[in-house]
Amino acid sequence: MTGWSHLTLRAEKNNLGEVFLFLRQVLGGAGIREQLLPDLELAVEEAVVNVMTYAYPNGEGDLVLGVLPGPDYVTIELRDRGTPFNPLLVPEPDITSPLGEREIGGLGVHLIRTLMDEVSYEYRDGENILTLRKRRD
Amino acid sequence: MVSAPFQVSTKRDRDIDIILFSGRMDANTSPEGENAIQSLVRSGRTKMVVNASDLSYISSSGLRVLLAGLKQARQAGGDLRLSCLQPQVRDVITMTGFDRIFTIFEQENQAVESFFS
Repeated sequence: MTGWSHLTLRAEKNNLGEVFLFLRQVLGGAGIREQLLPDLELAVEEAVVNVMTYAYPNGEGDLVLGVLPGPDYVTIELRDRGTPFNPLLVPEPDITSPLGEREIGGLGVHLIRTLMDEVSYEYRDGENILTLRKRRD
Repeated sequence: MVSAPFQVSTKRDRDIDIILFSGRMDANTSPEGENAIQSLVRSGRTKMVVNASDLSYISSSGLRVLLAGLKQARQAGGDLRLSCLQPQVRDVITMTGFDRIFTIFEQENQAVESFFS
């Protein structure tokens, strides 16, 4: 049985390397297919960057990253105590619009939705909790 | 390799600037790529080819850098064309519809020559 692994870090961009290393260690150790790692890394980066940008817009705060390599799904949870921010309310970007109308905003959330099988958000007891799930097969 | 550092180098073929990105272009490292593109744009060099043969990872932060460079280049009568995309980078570019707005080539030399055809 493999349980949750957690990493607590300051929500700062220069900690991303540590996030990737943590993911690799936990998921590699749990026998997750190598091909899944880039998708999980990207979804987690986008989620972490959203926390830095929206939950802690005026400076850094702490972020807790939890990973559970379950039998069928990898579950990843991000918790922070910043400003309430529900990324699922971010409108989907129009990825077919011409260059002049292209906005970069919303692409991170679009990538998370595209890459993951399930994404859920709740604000509870002063915490933003974003949960990402990806099938292992 | 998770820790593959992000590196940028540039070279020139006739009046085309080729920007080689290698490693991982994430939110932490993409400003370095931005500097490379912006310094070319600032000096009026807006015919650019990105060679991504050694770029193993890109996130929306990296895409933002490419998009800004593309817009500036085209406004100045140039272009920013992509070449040698590896699987993760190609997938992300497709998922975000960037394949509709960038001109993408298999090989660096094809991208360079396209400016002369």
